[in-house]
Amino acid sequence: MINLNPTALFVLVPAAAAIACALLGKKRPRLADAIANLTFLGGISAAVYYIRLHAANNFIAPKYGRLFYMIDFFGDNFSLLMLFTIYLVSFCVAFYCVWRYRERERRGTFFALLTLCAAAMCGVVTARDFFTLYVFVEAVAVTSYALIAFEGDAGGCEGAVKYFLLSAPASMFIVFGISILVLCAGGTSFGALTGQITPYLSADVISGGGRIPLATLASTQMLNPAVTLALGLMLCGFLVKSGVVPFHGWVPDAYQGANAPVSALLAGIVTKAAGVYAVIRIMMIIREIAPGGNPLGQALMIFGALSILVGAFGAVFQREIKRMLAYSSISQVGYIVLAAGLGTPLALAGAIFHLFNHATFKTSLFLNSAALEESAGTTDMRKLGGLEARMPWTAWTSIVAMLSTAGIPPLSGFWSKLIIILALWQAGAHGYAVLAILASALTLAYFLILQRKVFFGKTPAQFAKTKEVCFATLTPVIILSAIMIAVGLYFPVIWSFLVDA
Amino acid sequence: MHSLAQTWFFVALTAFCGIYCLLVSRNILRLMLGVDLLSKAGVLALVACGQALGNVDLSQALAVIMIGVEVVVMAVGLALAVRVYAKTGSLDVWKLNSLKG
Amino acid sequence: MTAHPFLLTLLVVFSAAAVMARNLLYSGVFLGLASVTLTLALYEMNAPWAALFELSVCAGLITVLFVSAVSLVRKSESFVAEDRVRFLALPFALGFFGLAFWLFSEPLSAALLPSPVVPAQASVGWIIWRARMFDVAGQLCLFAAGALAVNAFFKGKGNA
Repeated sequence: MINLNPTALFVLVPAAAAIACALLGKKRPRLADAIANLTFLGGISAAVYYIRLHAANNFIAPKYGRLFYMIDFFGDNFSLLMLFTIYLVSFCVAFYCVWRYRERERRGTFFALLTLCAAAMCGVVTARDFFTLYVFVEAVAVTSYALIAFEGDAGGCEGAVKYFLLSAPASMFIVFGISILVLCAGGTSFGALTGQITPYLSADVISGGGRIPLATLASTQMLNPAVTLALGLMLCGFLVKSGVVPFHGWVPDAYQGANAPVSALLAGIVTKAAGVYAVIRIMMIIREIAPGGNPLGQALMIFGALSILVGAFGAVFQREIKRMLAYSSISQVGYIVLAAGLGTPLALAGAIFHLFNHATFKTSLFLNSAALEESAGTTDMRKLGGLEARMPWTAWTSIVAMLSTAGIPPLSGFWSKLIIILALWQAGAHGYAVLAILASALTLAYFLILQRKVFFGKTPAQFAKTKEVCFATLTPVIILSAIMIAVGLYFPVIWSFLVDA
Repeated sequence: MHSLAQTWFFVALTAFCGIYCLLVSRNILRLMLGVDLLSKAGVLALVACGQALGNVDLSQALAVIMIGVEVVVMAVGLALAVRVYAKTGSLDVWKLNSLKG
Repeated sequence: MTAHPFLLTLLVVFSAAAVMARNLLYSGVFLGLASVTLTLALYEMNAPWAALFELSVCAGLITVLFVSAVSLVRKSESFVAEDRVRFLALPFALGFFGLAFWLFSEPLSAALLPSPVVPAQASVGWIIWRARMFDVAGQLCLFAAGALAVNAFFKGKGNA
């Protein structure tokens, strides 16, 4: 294991933990919980450690470790941030599940699936090769089918089936795109696409690879049409997995049908890691090789804008909390895709930051809805009301998350939306910028409706005895809210970090 | 006609069969069939492009891994279909509309 | 290469037959036949390893899984009223699409083609086990995930 690339550990450790959980879960379920949670905590601290190391520019990763030979997969800032987010969200969900499902059997399998999902997502964000990305994205998809349908009720099965039926063809589109990419670029790694590495020439690789630019790529400022087709096919596949209009059909059902903590995981990370991360990566690569305009970026902007609108309008009419949060997710992912489509460095930084923020606030909102479900027994907004007096912590953390989503200063959401709107304005896309601002107002509107209905207002009689959920369950949400507030206040520190990305 | 164009033609036809199957079917198991047809088209596309490139070994390696991925996805999909049948008693995908509102 | 278009046509014919078959068992059989045809086509394209995997995994494993899934579901209760007309329309739709795509595919492949031929200096084994080992790790994650998923699905049948 000498020269093992350290980021390999990010993938291998949770995978090993998953197997341990599955095997130990029968005899000693508490041990399984502990393993899962400790793994995630370890992951968070390792990610923070690497971020600080990387920021201090002390760390040159060995590009080709002995064990994982050729695929260089050390991260730049984006990957590190994603690793941190993955572990953060997984930890919050795992911690919540420990306290909520205290009497549940089959916990070994559940935590094993959870850790394996995290392992696969780490594989996604550290991969430097499109095919590796595809394999890990499939692994994430399989674990999430199982997690969505885990409870076994009809809603979970329906959500899982719809997700499967849209996600499997999307994977095939990604494969078609990869095959065309093999044809144009001679290989599937990011480096091959940017023309920096000639893949698979034998012995030179260990010392760092030859640098023979492939003449057909990027000879002008515009993209080669073949590469455009390849990346376009792949983008279609990844857009389905992110839940962007017009491929968003599976999102409301999957989020609603899954168990609430699983929905938190899905919304917080799976859509981001499996879908949007790849979209942003592709746009980053395109920015490197074709600084001129490109049709893919424009198409992404249109899809992003449509998602914002459909998500926002859809959310207004929903009556069930998880479904409304699903539509809100569609809308926020639309912001990310819109910014990614623009492609300027400012816009990409905004997209990445909004991705991180969205993970934090959606996770905390979904965990709060799980708390509501646990205490009050239902998530139907027509039946709930006036719970602020009974469940103050849940109410106030929800309000923090909602305000952050809507982009109210000084919370973190405000900064990311501001960057996106500024980037749009600077690049001359005034129409899109105005749209983004108006949609923010709409976001605020529907969240105010949600708050008013659920937390304030009159309390129906049946909920008079609702207790607050126990404090340990609240811990993840409190952590997330604290992060939101802290990131909002300490924004200049974050800014320098992002700009390097 | 160039052999790559030929092979891509057949890839497109097979993919079309798969997508058609996905669009038209109601039975979940038949939908899985559509997914599998798409996977075959994908394997063919990978190997065809590798062959046109000259580096068949690379695309063989990719195809081998992809076939492994495909079988796991199919197995999980079929298990999901059986689970749906056990839950709701029918395999009709249009009947799965309990989540509303 | 004269066998090549013939094999691929056979592949398309079998996949169309698999979609159009009324009985799901026949669909499974046609799927297996399509896999065998694809194996032969892959072998023809100088990809023996891919052909081997395709034969053992797809033609073997997937057909077995499919047939066992079909037999796990009892026939009389699972009959789904599908609109046969739409299925029978497949050959026409296929022909129409084929005609349209035929016009495209020559310029498409011409646009795709001018790429430098990268010399293949590595054997398949080297590529899989050294160069792409991370993919193999991903594959293992996938297998573990699949095993856990099927475990989760089938164990759950016991609970309500």
